[in-house]
Amino acid sequence: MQLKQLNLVNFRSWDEFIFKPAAGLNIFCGGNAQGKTNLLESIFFLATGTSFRTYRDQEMAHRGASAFAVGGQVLAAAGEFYLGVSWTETEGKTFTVNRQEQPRFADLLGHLPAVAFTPEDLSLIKGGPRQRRQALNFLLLQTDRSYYFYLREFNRVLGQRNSHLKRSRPSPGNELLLLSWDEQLTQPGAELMVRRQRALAAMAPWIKEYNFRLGSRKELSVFYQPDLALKPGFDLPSAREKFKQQLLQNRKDEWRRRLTLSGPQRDEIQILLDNQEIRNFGSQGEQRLATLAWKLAEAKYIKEHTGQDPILLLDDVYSELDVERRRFLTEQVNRSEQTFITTAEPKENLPSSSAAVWQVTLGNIERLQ
Amino acid sequence: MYYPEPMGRLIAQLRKLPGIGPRTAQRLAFHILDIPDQEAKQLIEAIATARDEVSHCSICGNLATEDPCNLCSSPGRDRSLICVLQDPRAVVAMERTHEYKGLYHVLGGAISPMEGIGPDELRVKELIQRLQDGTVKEVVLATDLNAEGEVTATYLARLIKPLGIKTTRLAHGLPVGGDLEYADQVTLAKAFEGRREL
Ligand SMILES: Nc1ncnc2c1ncn2[C@@H]1O[C@H](COP(=O)(O)OP(=O)(O)OP(=O)(O)O)[C@@H](O)[C@H]1O
Ligand SMILES: [Mg+2]
Ligand SMILES: [Zn+2]
Repeated sequence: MQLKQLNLVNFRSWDEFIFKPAAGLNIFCGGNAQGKTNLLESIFFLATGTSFRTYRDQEMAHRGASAFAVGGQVLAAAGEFYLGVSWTETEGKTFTVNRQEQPRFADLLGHLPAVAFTPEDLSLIKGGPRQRRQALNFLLLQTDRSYYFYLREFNRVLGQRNSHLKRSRPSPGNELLLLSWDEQLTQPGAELMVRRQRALAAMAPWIKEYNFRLGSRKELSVFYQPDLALKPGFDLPSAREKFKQQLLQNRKDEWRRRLTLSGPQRDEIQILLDNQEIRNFGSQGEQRLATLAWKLAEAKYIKEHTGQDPILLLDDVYSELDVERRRFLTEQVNRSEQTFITTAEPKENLPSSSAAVWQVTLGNIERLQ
Repeated sequence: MYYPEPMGRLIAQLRKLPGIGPRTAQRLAFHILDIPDQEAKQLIEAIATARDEVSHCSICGNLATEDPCNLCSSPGRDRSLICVLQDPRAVVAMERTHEYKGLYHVLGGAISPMEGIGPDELRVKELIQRLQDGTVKEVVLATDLNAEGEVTATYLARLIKPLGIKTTRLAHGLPVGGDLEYADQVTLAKAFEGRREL
């Protein structure tokens, strides 16, 4: 995947702007608050229709403007096309392909596969299980169409089941109803668990390998830990059966706490560095490296599942890394079709590479190398 | 708004209708002012008559101008068969197939705890009452094929089975998450042949 041209209208600090990135590695240098992260965010928005910093689209509008747009000339395996995503205060978000408006905004995902790393992504390591589940969900949403359906269905039924537990008393009739909700919940729930298991089984060896390649000498291991006690390599029927059994076992507690107490909404993903919990024992640099290894594995996963090499967007990625590890990272990303890195470091401190280096100053961008 | 007050009121009323936004409401209001007197009177009259004369059948819950409705009182229908549906629109879809000759029971929705809808909010008691005299041999559960419809169907099946009455579910050919109302007639007819026992 390659972005040949980026057009911004009223995106954050950029009012009107056209930029032609290079193939391969692009590095944005510049002082603080010059708009480097905004540039990455705009590409991420073009790729996913969302921001990696905010849930409120409005915040991306330049100085409270009532509309903004990001467009890009995209080079994909199947040829070139022009992708446009815009937001207006009154109509919300829409996207166009070759200037043709598309009917469903949700279909944007997949046109321009991208993987972003921002300092907030360290929550993947440092945060709770929810953050890790979200990261995995987002990856699967990008690569597996039916995952979207199952996740939506599961969340809806979970909401209904929890409402039922909250609103009614444990009478025979309500037990019958709960049993019916169990049946609706376990089917999409088992689908989610099987897909999560499969994805993490593929990702785990890659994450380990990338962590070594980025200069770590320790072994990084990632395990899927479903909330239900399932044997590794479980299949759909056994996941569904186990889920049903567990719900039945929890009946008393669920009526008491008025909440669904088992299922994939409580899954965990365990990350160990040399067999120790990385979030408790890893150093800053080790945690950052592990997060990057995860992200590079995501990119590989997307490539295997969609046939497209996703664009890498790495925000402020060099900080906390020593000279050697900066060099390893640069070498690694130099191999992907297109990567964007931002850094507040001066050009002299960057590892030498064939990268296109750009100086970003408010509202302007200039090629240094 | 800068419209004369009665016009503003008309627009406001039209906006309350489902699927009508501010622009459509304006367009409809202008249209209503433009049409001949006669046509406008017919519209007013149609609304008033429909509201006066159409109510729910006390037996099946379907929309009707008489009570019992002409489906319930028709001698040509098979009284050993009841098809349970969420709302009157599904009855229309079913009738169009010309495949089904039994009676209907309209629940008025599906079980949805998030919206505060449980069995007591639906016409479940009325259904069980209809099954007491031994005439009905089979109940076809044709609620929508989404989670709420499925839960309603399994719940009803579990209530009905102890009465010694067969319960079946429309099974094949309908899109997952699809509403019965929108299913085309061929799929619906096929679904009907392929109903499975619950
Ligand atoms: N909606 C907006 N309209 C106008 N300016 C905005 C908007 N949102 C953010 N900005 C401004 O954009 C500027 C640049 O932000 P950005 O995060 O891209 O900086 P940066 O170059 O990545 O800096 P750093 O090196 O500190 O991370 C900030 O000063 C911020 O005030
Ligand atoms: Mg920044
Ligand atoms: Zn009737």
